[in-house]
Amino acid sequence: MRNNTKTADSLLEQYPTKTVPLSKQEEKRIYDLAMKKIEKAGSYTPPKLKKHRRVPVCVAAAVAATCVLSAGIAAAPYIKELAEGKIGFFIDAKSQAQVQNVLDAPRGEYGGQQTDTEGHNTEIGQTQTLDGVNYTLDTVSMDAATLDCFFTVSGENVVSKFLDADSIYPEWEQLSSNTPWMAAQINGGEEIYTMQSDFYRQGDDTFRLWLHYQLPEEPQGDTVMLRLLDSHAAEGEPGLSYTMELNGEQVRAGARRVAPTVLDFGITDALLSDNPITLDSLCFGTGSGSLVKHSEADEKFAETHPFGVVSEDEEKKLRGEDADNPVIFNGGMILTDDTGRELLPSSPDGVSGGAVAYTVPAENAQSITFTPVYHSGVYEYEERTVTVDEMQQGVKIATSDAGGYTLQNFAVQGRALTWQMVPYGYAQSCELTPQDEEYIDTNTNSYAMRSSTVDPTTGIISCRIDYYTADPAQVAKISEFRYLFGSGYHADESRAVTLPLQ
Amino acid sequence: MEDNKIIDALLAEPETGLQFLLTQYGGLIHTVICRILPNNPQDAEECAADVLVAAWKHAAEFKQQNRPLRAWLCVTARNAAIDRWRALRPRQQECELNNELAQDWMTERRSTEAEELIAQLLTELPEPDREIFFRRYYYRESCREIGRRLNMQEHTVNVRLSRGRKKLRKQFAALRNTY
Repeated sequence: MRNNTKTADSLLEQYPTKTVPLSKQEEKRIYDLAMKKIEKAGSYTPPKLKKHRRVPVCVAAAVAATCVLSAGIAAAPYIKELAEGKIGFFIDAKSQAQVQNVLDAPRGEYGGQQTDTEGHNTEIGQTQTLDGVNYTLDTVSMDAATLDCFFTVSGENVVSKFLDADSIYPEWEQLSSNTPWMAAQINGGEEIYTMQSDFYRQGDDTFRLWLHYQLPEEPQGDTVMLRLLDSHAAEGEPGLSYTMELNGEQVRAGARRVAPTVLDFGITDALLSDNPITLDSLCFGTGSGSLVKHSEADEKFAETHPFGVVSEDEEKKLRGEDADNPVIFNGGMILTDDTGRELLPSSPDGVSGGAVAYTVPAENAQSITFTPVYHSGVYEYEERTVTVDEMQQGVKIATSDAGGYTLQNFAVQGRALTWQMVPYGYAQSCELTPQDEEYIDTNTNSYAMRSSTVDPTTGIISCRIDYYTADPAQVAKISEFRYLFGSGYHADESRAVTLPLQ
Repeated sequence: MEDNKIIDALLAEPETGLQFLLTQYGGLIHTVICRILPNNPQDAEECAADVLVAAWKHAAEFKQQNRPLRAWLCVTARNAAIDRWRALRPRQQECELNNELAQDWMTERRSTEAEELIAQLLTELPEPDREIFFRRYYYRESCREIGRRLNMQEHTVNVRLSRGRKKLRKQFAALRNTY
């Protein structure tokens, strides 16, 4: 059985970090120091007259990986056309309320996403087999801002193969760790990582997998070359790799965009004011949009603080404890269109990749307004509570002075608690934590599993907690949740910037 | 450059192997160290040299186990820098790194086997906690940097780290008892 488990190394590849390259002088000093230590250790004597030299990297060129895949490898791709069509992942899925075991249904709810992706997709049907497991890329849906890929993974007892009977982790978490991790590469560009995934099993021999990506820029060209690679293939080893070409015009059909520009909110600088912000890309496909931005202040900070370490005085300023400079702008914004619709930031609780997902503007919208949100004073957080009764009726909770969430569809399903959160204003990421300690033993390892998924087309976050060490009667006793409210945030409409939609 | 080529070079000819290592990972090693020793460039370079020497010493083991290098180098760089920091700081001085290290069981020195266990636990975390922990414990990125990258408040990152550490500690202890 091939080990598809993500390793620390493969994950570190997935999480690139900013590194400061060594200068030639630094390299030489470190090299010389290391060689002295090695010689001093006494177990190595260097050959005489061997001088320090730089070895060209090209000497160590990677050997081409030999592919051991069987069956159905895509040859030179022909261009796939996008059209309306049902997607098996959604059609065959049940809801969590319909199943006994959480593995048997997707964890989230994606009504909007299903409608959108079924409006433009193409069947691929590429199957690759590794260690007796078949990985079939069933369908791909791509628009100007998003990519969705749907797989069927099958083989004898494949689900059991991905589970470890001795693991202390819930089965869903194990499967989640063992499902293929695929990077997407568009037109040979940088690898893009999955923003969100979900899956469910169909018996012991099959599970269905969905991978969703937010694209950092609008794909260009008459044809769009798409490549999907797992972590092994990305490192040049035998692995899963799918290649296809899509009709570029169809990918971009219905796209709207705001031209790249600099957003200057006129906020005077503090140590970490992100003003002005460069809007690298804001593009809306048919279902959701992707925003990519950066700030000069961030780049300058990186230059003067290459290792990201700040002094104590700087730390005080960051926390708003510096009385001389109480305003901090970290690039927070609220986006609205000219019909009054708020565009909901739908990246679930912190997923990196550069592109932040937003819901789309109204069909007849002509412009987008960017309202800056900044913080003044000391950063302080207050713990607040909301009752289950309030959540069942639907309630708005503020998580900052400038926004929060509407809570809806709270339900107790056996050992599980489920609810939805719809952001408004400057919501900030928010974790609702049940006050469960009184009823449930929370000292046990893996006593519960928590997840949140988002439908990027609606911005609705679906949350779920499954308890493993409690019975339904105990779960039903939970009557309250806690969350954090951050004070000091202010949405300044007087400084908002409006840009036309193209 | 593939890790196995670097390891082969370290075994066959350290001069070449060190050069390969510096070219491929020198920036990463040095950056991790400097996040702990930002004001001590000479000590940082010496720590980096120690990491290279450690990689040379363990090259045979890497070869035998077919072990990739990145995670090991990050942990070794982190540990070397923390050891050096402890040796350098005035004994009476209270500072944030001191308090953080005192409270954080995850940065204690431990065996390779124990580090691998921690790595296994971290790979099984759900996102975004997994990314937060990898960035904090392997790359030593600040919570602020992590927050900006993940569109989170720094405070949220701290809360996730704090909760996650507690949970991981229990899991680590439970797994250690079963071996």
